[in-house]
Amino acid sequence: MTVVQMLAVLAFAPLLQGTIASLRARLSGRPGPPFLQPYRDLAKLLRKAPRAGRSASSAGFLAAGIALGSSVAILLLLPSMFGGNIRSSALDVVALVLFFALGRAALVLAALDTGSSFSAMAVGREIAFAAVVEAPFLLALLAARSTQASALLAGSALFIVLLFETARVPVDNQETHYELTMIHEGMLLEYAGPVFAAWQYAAQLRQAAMAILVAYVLAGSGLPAPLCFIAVATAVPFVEAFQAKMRLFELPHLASAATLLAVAALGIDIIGAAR
Amino acid sequence: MRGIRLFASSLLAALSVAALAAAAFPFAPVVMHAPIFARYLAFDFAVTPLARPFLVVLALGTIVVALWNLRRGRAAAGIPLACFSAAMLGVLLAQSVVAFLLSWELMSLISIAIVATESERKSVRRAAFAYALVSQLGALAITIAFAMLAVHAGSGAFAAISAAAASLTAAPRAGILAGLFIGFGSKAGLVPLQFWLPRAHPAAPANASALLSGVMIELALYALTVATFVLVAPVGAIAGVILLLAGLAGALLGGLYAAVESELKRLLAFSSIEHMGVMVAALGLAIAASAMGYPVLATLALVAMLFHALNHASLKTLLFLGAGTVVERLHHVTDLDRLRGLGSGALKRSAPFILVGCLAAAALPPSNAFVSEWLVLHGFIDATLSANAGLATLGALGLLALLLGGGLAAAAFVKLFGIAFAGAPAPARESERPETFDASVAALALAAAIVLALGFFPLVVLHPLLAVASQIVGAPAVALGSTFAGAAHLAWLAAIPLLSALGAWWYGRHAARRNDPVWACGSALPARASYSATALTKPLRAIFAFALFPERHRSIVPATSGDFPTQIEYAVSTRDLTSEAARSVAAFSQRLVRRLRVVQSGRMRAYIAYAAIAIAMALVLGR
Repeated sequence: MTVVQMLAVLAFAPLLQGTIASLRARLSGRPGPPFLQPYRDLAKLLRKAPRAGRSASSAGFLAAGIALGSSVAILLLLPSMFGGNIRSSALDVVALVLFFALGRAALVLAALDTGSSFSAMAVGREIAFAAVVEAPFLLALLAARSTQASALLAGSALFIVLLFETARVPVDNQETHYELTMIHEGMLLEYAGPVFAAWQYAAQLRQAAMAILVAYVLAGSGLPAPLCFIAVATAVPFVEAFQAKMRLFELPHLASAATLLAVAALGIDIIGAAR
Repeated sequence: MRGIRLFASSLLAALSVAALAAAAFPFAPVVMHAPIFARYLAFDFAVTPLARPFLVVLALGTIVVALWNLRRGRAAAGIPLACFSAAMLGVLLAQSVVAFLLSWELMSLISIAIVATESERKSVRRAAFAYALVSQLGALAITIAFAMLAVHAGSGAFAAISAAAASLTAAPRAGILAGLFIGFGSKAGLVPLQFWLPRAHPAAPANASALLSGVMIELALYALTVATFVLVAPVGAIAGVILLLAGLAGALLGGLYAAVESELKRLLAFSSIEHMGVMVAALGLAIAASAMGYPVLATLALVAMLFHALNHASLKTLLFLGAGTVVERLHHVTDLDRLRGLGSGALKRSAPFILVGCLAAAALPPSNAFVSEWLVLHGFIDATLSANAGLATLGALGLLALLLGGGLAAAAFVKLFGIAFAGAPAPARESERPETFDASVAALALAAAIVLALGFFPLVVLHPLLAVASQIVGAPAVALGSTFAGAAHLAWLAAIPLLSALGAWWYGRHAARRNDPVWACGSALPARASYSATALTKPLRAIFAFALFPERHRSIVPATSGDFPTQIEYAVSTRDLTSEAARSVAAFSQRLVRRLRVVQSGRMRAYIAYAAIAIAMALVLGR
């Protein structure tokens, strides 16, 4: 079932991206792009000739390949939402977190390889925030075993991690094009054509994977996983439409909040298991 | 000089082969008795099962360094390094108190001398002094603890000490353990005894740093394991918790300081503290789990620790030797703020291997440290999911600290490679020849091959390590089959990104090259304006200001004419948390002493009165 789910994600990850963008636009009163816009963007980028930038090394291609491959590895590690109870399948949480980290390392190295100061500025933010959300990521995935309360706490912790991992408001804004505030887009400023398409697609795969993981944790409360997935996918545009982007150095507090929620969920589980 | 170089390298290689042979074919115990006090002054040497993984560590580090030393101009350190390796071999084989203490002290003294090699620099002299001080105080603590053990057992042989350990009462046991933890922990760079390590390890020449950071601190880990699982066994859960917490503190602080450090070799030394913290935390978990009645978990943690020790030896040797190549080719420039584009410039051949080392140091796939970090974290997850609330809390705490420390270490190595090696190279100097595939590159290639091979085929070493660990824990035939299968499966999952990267590289091979300038708001920036490593970690310094105490120093040369200053220099400094703590303890005790100074009035009558009171008290109490 994991392979079926992987194929589905490979096919529909851009659709999820388009849905979120479209819903966000409508919620903030704009007509917004069509749902299928990400597919058109990818097709347009793929039609361009492959070109390498100033540093003229093949590093950009290599790194994009690593990022795509690590996204695929993540999809293979995910528990399946379809067929049976998602909570019953074993989940290698450590490997998941480390493959997410590999994809990020590839992105960061590719960004630094361009030599652009804007990219490096974004890299500095990315590695700092990545370091502080890794712990709540893993702890939230471990929690949500005993009660509905712990599932909800862990689910909200992981939702905050999702906002960090997928460059969403209030952490980052995918719709802005202002170099000084961008994080994810800033790192890709120098890339274009098929390599840029690969980065975009890898990010979309990671986003879908994160949404599935939040659904996995929320399913610990007894709700069906596909329903949780849809809830997460609609919660993201709501947050994006009604929240302002946070100040950069407020973000560690958001990460601490996620850590506290995850630790609380785990604490409930530990007390539950000891009884 | 060529003869000395060859001789030194072959001596090192011979030692490596000897260590490997001892690991593969344990020889019969060698016992030499001194004529007097024969019970205590026996020199026993033998190969124990626990020593075998560490013999492999020694063999691995030594052979890589021997290969690296073959290059022209590296004769100097060869012979001392061979003596150093021989002393370390002695530590691993020693089976009696005297043999161990002599080998340990020999290892310490030679390493102090090696650290002081470039003693014309003041920073090196200070580092060597700090190291000598800590090392000798640690040796004192070890000697006292071993003397107590030997007197209790009535013999200096480890076997006798181990047999008599169960009859130790609580108070001497605690004292002995404290002495051993202080002595071995200071060598291992365990928080709060780590302050000397980031000064001393980078001060030595690169090949010596590789052995110090790649092998010697692993020997301290070996000694801690021997102390807790053999000599003073069983040590009880509290000792395990102490080691666990010290290890976690090391993982956190090491990762944090590595992330914000801008000097190449100091960054590597901080990373050693981080990795050592991971290993000691696993050791502490093994002790605690074993004491709480979870032998399977204890075995898993111990296997993970042993595997991580092996992996750390390979990756840290690789990285320190890589740093040595940087030092040589860039004339002692090791400041990341001044290194650019080495990957396509001065270190064209070494860079891919150094990248492998950086991935491993950050515990990213595909590398051996990825698998062992995975095993360590799985140990902590099993603890978290256990029904014992105490163990579960320790497990959760461990996960929190290890992930934060690991995330920071990943940031450190991404910064290292991204700033110094990625990107466009600085224009080459006239005299500079392009790097060729010589002995030093071959040494890096060998170490990188070990890193990758152990990453893809971890079971080759995991099964022998399981045999060692289950014997030490005393758990008969522990089943870790499913965990090992997971580890092997994982290694192949790591092949997916590797394959897709190769595919993407193949696709991009014929990509049209373009020479567009990088976007800088429409103007062309000079190379000097490119982002520095210090700037890159500014967000981290802001987030962790409470532990780093960052300070900005600015010096402005005012304008001679016009409005703009001639020159502005920025520098950022951070301070070490443990040094700050030590400083505040010192300040507190000084304040206390100042209060007590009122008794020192300087008047003769007062002192006569003190003496009279003292005599009177002695008479009354001594009755």
